[in-house]
Amino acid sequence: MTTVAPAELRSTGIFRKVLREHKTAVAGLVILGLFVVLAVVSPYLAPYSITERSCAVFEPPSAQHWLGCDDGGVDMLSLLMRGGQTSLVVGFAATLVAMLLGGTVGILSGYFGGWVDAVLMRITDVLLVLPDLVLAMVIAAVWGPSLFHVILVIGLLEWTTTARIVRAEVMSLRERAYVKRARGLGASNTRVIVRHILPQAGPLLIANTVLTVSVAIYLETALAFLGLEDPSVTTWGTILEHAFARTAISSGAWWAIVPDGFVIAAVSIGCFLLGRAIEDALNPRLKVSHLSGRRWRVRVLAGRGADAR
Amino acid sequence: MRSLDYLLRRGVFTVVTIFLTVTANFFLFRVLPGDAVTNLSRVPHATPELQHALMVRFGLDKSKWDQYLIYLKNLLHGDLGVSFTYQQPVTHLLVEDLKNTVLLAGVGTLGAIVLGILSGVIAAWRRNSALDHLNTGLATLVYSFPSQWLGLVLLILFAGILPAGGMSDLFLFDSPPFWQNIGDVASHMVLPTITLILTAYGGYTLVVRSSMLETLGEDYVLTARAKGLSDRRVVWQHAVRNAMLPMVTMVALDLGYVVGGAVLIEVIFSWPGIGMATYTALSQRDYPMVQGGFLLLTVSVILLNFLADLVYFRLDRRVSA
Amino acid sequence: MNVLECRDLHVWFDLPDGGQVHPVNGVSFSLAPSERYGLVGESGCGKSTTILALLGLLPPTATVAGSVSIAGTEILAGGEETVRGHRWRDIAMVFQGAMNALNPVKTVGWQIAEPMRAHGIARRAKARERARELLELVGIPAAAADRYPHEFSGGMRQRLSIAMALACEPKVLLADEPTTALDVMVQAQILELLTRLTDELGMALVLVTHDLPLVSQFCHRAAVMYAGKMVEEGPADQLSWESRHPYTRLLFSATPDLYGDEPVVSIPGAPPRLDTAIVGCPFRPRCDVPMDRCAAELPLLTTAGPGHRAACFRTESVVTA
Repeated sequence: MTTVAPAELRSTGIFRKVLREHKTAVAGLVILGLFVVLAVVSPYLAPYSITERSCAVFEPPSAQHWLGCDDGGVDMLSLLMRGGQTSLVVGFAATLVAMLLGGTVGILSGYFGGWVDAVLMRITDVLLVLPDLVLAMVIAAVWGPSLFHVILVIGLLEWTTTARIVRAEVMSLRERAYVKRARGLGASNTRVIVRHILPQAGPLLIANTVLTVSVAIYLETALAFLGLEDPSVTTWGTILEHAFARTAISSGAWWAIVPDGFVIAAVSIGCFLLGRAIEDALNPRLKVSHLSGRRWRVRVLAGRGADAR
Repeated sequence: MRSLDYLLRRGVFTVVTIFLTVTANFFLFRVLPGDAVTNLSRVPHATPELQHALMVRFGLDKSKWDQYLIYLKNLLHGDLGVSFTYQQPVTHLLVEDLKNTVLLAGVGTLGAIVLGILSGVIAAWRRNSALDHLNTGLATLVYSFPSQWLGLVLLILFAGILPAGGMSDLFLFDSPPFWQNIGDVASHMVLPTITLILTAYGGYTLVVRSSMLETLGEDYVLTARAKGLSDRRVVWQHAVRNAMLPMVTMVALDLGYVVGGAVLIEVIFSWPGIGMATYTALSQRDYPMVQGGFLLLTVSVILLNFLADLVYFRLDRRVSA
Repeated sequence: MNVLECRDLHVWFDLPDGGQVHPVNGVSFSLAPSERYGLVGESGCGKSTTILALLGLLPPTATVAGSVSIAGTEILAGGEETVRGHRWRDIAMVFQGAMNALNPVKTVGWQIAEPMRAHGIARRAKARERARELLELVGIPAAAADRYPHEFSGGMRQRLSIAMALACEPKVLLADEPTTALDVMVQAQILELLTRLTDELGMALVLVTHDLPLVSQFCHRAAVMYAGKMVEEGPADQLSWESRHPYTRLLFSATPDLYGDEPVVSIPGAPPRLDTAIVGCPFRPRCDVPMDRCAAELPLLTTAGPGHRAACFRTESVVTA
């Protein structure tokens, strides 16, 4: 298995390459793009208000309400759209926190090495072992339920993979000639970091970011479900929590539950497809499999001497 | 010796991590403003006797540092404090719950691993065929749904056919016959266990597939084929045995996620485990219980990780030489 | 009677963009019992693919034509299912770089015994005993049967591969560069072992290598391949002293007299691409004595002496530059 040397690929080149060769990446990008667009326009596109009743409690899907209504008589479709906006914002915000934190740790660790690296990496190791949701639960509980707290908590727990990736890139790049040259010319550490190291680590970071978004969204729904998020806010997570707490199941109101899972899964899958495709493009697997369900073929050649078989 | 070195390092790491967790636990609940555990005005149904007992137990009149030392000492004796709600030692209450969680999470994880291996191996063996796409696609899809949603959907589908919550319907007096007990618990276990399996198996499938693809390109697989062995033999005796190693790492990495899923599932199905207990304690502001639950869950995961290190060590002949 | 007859063997590989390459283009040769036969040529000439094809060890992108028979029985024409029954029992292989050809998580005894059990030749106890005998035969203490491959040095692993290949008493042994990664002393030991085995067991050996002095010393006969075709074949010593094909002559003159690990080099130019049909002699662009005829006509293998054939229009006389 060979790793494509980072120096040979420029950031923009990679994206074009990925999109050309991996259909899944395009699919992922399309899905994500769709949801982002929907999230942005949802206040205008949502058919009904989510703060006022527009139908009966747990009204089933109909022509006026495609996905029925929840226990408060609020249109489900509108809830999902507005909730999606908030969920995506939370997801991206938390990821931003994680990325900034992880990127900083990774750069510091990789660039300075020595005891700085040792300490930071041990912290990373510890954080990786601890169970995310349990930690998040407890911190959110102590802090109090609020969207802001949720964003911070998720960001504080999800920076480790980013840090590892950035650190590895920085360490491999640190030794390259052009970095040494830049330093020799008197460039300050910051300048080197920003101008030389960040762009090269970019693609891998993007992949990791995308995958972190799906983790952030998952954690948000979990925390909301456990009642650790501000219940007055509408997110995909609180929609599920309300459905569970307000007896949607015993009322048979599947529409208050099922579509919510699908939109969450859709965003997850989009992130997954895109993130994986980028990672694969950067680390192509060249190995052939020695085993396959299909077989080699035998051809019979006619008229080739006495032993035509 | 290389082997002892590895074990020692992982052992020290485990101990240090546990210690940090324990300290963080103290910090979160006792040091942060709004000391949740010992702020007596926050304690529900705080009778004077309880308040006095808490004072003594936690040394509330002493400095934070002294309180910390008392906390550590109590921990070493297995004392996790007293539940506000039940007025009983937390440890005693949680040990029961721990058994239930282990039952659910244990069976669920096992099922997920088996299913993950089966679908991952098939997907890699028939790479790029319809079977591969089906398995991989299904795994990715199911893995993308939040666990609580999977549980809710199963409830919708099977409410009425299978028990919707709790661990047992039998009353505790007139101790019911053993088999009836088992059957009852088993029927209550079906839905939550299936939910946990669905939650976890997708991730396992993808890792097994990936690991198998690596392994199937190795020379010894070609040798196995050259020996005239059947495909099935080549896959299971040669490829899978070698692809197992990364699997152990993967199971270890996913432990946190599985435990998180177990918490959500316990809440949905009212399964009386630690996750459920912690959740209830949270809503009741029973902070000693929350602390205890957090500690037990986290330390369990840390220890299981160490167990995974040991298993890896044993499996990888090259390390244990 | 010849123990191996290969007649007009062709292999094609499908390319991802729809085309095909033709790495083995009408190769024919035969082997007598106890005969040691060398197969030489530059990288990419098709020698490795040829012997893999003898065992049917080809990927799904391959198409095969021609006849391969062991002791009179055709083995290739029936496809993978047929040839599998003959693998290891009639014809076995020692792979290049035994580093990875052995399964790291199984004991060497188990790996040697495995084909015996799989082909129904011996049951567990008998197979284990025979495995130990084979270890002794190749010069490894029988007690080593319970060890793992990584516990052995490169040379010993090569011996293990040989012991493993002998498990089902094959009539033909294929060896793909068995000594390339080993140092000179160990090389000599392996070759001495192979000499002994072929003489004593009546087993025929095909040795693929680009170490030319090796071929002259060790093989009875040898063939030179170029661009998928056999361009010369004859007694091994004649190939070096009395080459009848310019390529052979250039090859052997590019090599120093003593043993060395030098790759074969120093003929200007590169071998032709195999994804398009070649008109005329494939060697013409690099030949030092081309004729006009060579550009349009393909020279076929013609007799150049007793047991000696060459595919060159200049075959009548010994060619000198």
